[in-house]
Amino acid sequence: MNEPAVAVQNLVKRYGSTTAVDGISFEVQKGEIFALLGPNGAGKTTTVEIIEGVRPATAGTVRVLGHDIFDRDGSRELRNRIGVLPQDFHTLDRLTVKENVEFFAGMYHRHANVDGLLELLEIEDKARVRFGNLSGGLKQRVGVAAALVNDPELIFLDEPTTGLDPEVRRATWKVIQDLKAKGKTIILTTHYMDEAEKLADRIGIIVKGKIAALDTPQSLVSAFGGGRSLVIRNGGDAAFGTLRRFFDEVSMEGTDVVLPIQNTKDIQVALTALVERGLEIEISLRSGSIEDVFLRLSGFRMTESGEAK
Amino acid sequence: MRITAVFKAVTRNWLRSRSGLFFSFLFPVIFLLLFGSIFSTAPGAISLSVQNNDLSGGVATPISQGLIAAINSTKVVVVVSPILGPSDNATTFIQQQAGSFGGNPRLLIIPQGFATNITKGQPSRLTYISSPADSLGAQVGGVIGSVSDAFSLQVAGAHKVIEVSQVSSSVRPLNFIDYYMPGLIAAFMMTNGVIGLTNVASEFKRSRLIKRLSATPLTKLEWVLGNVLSQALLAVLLAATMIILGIVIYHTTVIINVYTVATLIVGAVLFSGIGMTLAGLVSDPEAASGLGNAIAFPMMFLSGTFWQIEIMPSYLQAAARVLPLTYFADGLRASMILNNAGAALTDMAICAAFAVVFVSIGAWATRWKEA
Repeated sequence: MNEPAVAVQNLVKRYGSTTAVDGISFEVQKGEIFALLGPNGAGKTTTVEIIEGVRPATAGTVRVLGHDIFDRDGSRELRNRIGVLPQDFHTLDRLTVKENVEFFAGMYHRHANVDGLLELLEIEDKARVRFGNLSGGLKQRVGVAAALVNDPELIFLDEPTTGLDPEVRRATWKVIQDLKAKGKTIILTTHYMDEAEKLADRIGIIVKGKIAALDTPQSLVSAFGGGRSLVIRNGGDAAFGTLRRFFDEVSMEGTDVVLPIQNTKDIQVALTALVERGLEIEISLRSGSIEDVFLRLSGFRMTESGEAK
Repeated sequence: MRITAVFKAVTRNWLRSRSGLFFSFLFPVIFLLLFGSIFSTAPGAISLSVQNNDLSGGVATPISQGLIAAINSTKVVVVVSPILGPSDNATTFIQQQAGSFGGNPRLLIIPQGFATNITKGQPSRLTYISSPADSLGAQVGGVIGSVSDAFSLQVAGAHKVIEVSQVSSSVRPLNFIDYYMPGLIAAFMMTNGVIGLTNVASEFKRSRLIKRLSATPLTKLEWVLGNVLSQALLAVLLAATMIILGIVIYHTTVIINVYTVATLIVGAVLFSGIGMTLAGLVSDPEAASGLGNAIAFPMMFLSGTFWQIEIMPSYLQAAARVLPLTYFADGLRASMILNNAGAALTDMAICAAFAVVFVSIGAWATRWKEA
């Protein structure tokens, strides 16, 4: 059997009395997109930075592309073969996009053609624009270009779409999918459920420094997603109160009312009750999602900015 | 290759910073123009009284007369007649001078046995007295210090009495701006390294660029060396600009030789090393920047860049002797003004030792990995 691209065993990171990473173990196979999903402060970035070799661990073993990353010689060799997009990528403000990517290219004996890379990321028209004058989305793309400049086998993308508008997010997703199509191994950290679900072959859900579950998105939803739900859009307290008389598990998501359903009879009972109450309702059926999985495993939801609530 | 990449990138980034350019390049140039305008006026009007106690058979020794002639030959300071002798009371003379309208007495006392000590290669102390209220007192002290350095080098180096005329002719006529030029260059190269590089390195740390680079094959030492070399180039460019402006506008007669260039390069590396050390040792970028300022400004005034350290109290002189800027400024003065290769080499060697220490500490202290 081929050696995995990344093998993490019992990884621990402590800061004084605080344990940021608490005995994490997982493997990432070559050619797959592996997502670490969790709220801010869960330990995703710390875990990934230890694997990248930029942060020491308290305990545990990490092998990356066959090298022990805690071995100095192995780590140096390894850095030629990995690419890293950190959270909030920043580089030299007064250098242009092209100059900055060339700066990173200068770190490697062999590197990709910089112009070609800018074309691949559709930022060739910004080549002469200074980094400090770019929007957040374009800065992230420069970060991706810097991460790919050495044609790495393994790419770390830490929150690659945080703060980007939907259009740029989708464009970034396409870049990530294209990289996978080229056989690259990608470790993605994100707090966006849809991003993890859409991109990842496997997802590790990380909560308070521990991996709560790890599997393919489909398997996670099957195991923890809780089946299907009836959603009453903008049902509010009236719909909630009506359904609560018949069902114990009804809940509110904002103004929406969500009712997990076991069979069609549940739907019939719910709709009859709501109509008899005289409520004007808009309904939809929702299958279980990674969001449901996360809620079930962690006991809380995540806000758009990645905070637990 | 990686050092070159760092060097090119940080140099470009710096050259495109308006505020960086102003404080690191234009500000020193403005300072030079200001100093030049004030102190480049024709010398000759600044008077100095001399009491010559070094008599032989009732007549001033040739060496003591040679020193007086050497001071006169600078055309910056003019020794007034009559020359006082051992029978004159220096204290009374100073009191009389100070009592006159606008009087600022400046008196140089040549001790008895001056010639004998000099010819034997033994130290002989000149005493220079000026009023603290005398705005030109320190500058005249600087002229006396530089002339006596060159004079004693010429005489002591020969191991025999040198003709007075030869001693006098070896001293070039100098303007005040000539004396200030090495000090100004030294001071601003120091601030660029200690303040400028501390700010730049702290900014890289704050923006997490260093952490990103640590995930590449770049080593910490390569990063430090790339930054130090960049700062060294900028410092040499600054020095060249100031020297050219001094020559073109104020007709300075500073000497540019291999010792001058080597001292400039060593100094640039030294102060860049201090900058990297501060940025590395202090984790908070704002604190590192503040510490750079707190170190640079006292060092600038204590190290004899604007006046001779001999005019300071003894405890401040002792402090000045452990500051690297003292040796850098002295080395530049020795090569650019006095044409004293021996002194320049000694100061350069001390600066080089400081440079090795600080670049090494800078490389060690730069945090390449997160905690």
